[in-house]
Amino acid sequence: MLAQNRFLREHALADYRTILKGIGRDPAMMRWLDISGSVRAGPNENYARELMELFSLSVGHYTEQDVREAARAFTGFVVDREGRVDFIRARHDDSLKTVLGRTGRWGPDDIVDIILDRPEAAVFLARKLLRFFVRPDPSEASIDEVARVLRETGFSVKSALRRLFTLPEFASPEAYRSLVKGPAEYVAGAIRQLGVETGGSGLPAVLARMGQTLFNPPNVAGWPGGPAWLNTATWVARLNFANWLTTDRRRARLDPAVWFPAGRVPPDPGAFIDRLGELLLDGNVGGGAAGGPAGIRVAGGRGPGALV
Amino acid sequence: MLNRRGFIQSALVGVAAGIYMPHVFVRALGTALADGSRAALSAGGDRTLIVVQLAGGNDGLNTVVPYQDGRYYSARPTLAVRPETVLPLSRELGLNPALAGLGQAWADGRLAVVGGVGYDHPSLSHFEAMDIWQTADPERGRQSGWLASIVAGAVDSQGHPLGAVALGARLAPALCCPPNAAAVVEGPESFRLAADPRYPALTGARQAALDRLYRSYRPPAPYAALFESAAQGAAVGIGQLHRALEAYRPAVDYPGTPLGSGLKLFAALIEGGLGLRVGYIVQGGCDTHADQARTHEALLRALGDALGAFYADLAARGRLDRVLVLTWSEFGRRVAENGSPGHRPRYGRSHVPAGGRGEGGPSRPAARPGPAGKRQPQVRG
Repeated sequence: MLAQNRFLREHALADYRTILKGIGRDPAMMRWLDISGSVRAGPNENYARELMELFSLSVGHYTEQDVREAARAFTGFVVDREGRVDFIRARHDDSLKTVLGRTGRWGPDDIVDIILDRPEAAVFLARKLLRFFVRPDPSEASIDEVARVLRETGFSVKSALRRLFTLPEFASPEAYRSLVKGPAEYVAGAIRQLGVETGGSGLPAVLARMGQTLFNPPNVAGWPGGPAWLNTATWVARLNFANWLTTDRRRARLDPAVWFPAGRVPPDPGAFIDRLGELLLDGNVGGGAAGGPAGIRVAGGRGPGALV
Repeated sequence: MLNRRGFIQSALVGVAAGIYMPHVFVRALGTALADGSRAALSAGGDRTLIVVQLAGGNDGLNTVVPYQDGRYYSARPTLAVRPETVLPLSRELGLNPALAGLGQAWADGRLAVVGGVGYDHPSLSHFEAMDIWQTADPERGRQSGWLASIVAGAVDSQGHPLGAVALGARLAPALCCPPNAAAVVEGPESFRLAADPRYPALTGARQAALDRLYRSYRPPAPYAALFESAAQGAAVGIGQLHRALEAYRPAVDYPGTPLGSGLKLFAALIEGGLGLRVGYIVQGGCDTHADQARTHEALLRALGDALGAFYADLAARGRLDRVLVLTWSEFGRRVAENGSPGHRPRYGRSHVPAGGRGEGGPSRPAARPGPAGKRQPQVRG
């Protein structure tokens, strides 16, 4: 999983084609979805199915027959105990396959290319990005616009994000505070925003109590996110983390001086609170969706103002 | 025909109402209850359903063992449970000896085994299987979990946050997502608000300030209702839970396993009269691909011992008639062993309801390998 994390960090802003091709060669993925050990005589369909369902097209835009045919392209690979990937040509099915209407002696990379040629693929990725960065229910116009950029730039994630962050919808009142931060965002974000110095050894357990055990997602779809982060247990865990961060001076060193220019803490408690409000809630402590100066709202859903 | 949730719900109602059900009657009952099952469950008043999910695909054939079936033994030369060790339930089926903790419930006629539960054309994808089991909809059109309507009737924002409780850090999709969501409790220790070690007296004031701050997040913010329900549920539920737990004196010693502590907490909530209608707990690690025999035995022992303690505790309080336990898993394991000493997932599985007023018994000759060596689902969703 560490290797997978490194791969995703390295290529997060690359083109999605590279990401999709690479993730199919990622040892953790190959093991979990049984690419490893899948052979011509009995191709395992798990990866081919999730590739289309979860990573690129979603249900309804491919058939079970497409899954069966694509699965044959992923045969012949074995991952050993050390995570080394081996390709055994004799176990690979190199005969003709028909996937999404196209026939050829397709291998793994060809399948990705065929999938990304479908118009639904760009829409799928655009919707995912907008739901993560803007709001849970993005408009069709925004989806179409980001999808267009993806198609025109050869699926460049970087270009898509650049367009996304300049969409009117990103700065709209509907997007403001419309997302729930994931535990890692919440914890790492709070530590950074407050300039806390901590060794961090207790943080994985804190994240687990908030529902996110790093490097151990519930399945290949990842953490469901959004409302799934919010329940009584995770809420208590978030409050207790905030308490720990601000009271355990031994393990979480917090110095309010770093929040102020030239390290000068104002004597007036009101000014102190205003500064905290700026740091954590972009100055909008009580206004909800309608409040806040327009200039600050540009921070959008996942800016410093995002909920909890 | 049984539709969507029909099977599971009608089976539960049937067992809880004390009816011994061969599967043909399950079907008949299911038809009769197709629309009325929710009402029937709601009519249960102070009854409680405890769901134990064996996550990862429990090996049903090595849980409820067809110990007279030669095909089972020839398919599993090393992993089969030896016939002389099983705890016989009938002339065909026996429990894995690691489940000895369930023996008393069986002897009392309060344990039932529902075997061969499944749906048509399973794809072997864990993802899809979980989706289908948690929503009880093989067509995958349903968004809400199969327990959602019960939760909706059990939890409210007027002081009843613990009408449905899921143990762990995540809400099981089966409980998802009525407006007043089930409480999620990671464990009694973590389900409390920590005090400021230096200014403990200010804890209340700090809490009030936070509440005011978060109250600014309100509709039309998309998750405002959910947020309100979680924050309120925690604020009220923490006090209720700890009062119930502190007052509780179990009649038996529970094992110190997560499952044991979880069931003890459920017992305390039931005894505390907090309106617990659904308790949900997950035992993970059933995805025993390798080193199956020992891992699976340990899992079953933890399960049997915890359920055995829970059963004895409830029995001592005369509450068996009001509590039903259901264990389930999203799939079983292939009948035959594979090269490594473990199993690949396959269709078969057994669901084991226990407790209730049921006259127990295997409700059908479950877990029989079909002619092709492949288990066919015998009750379809």
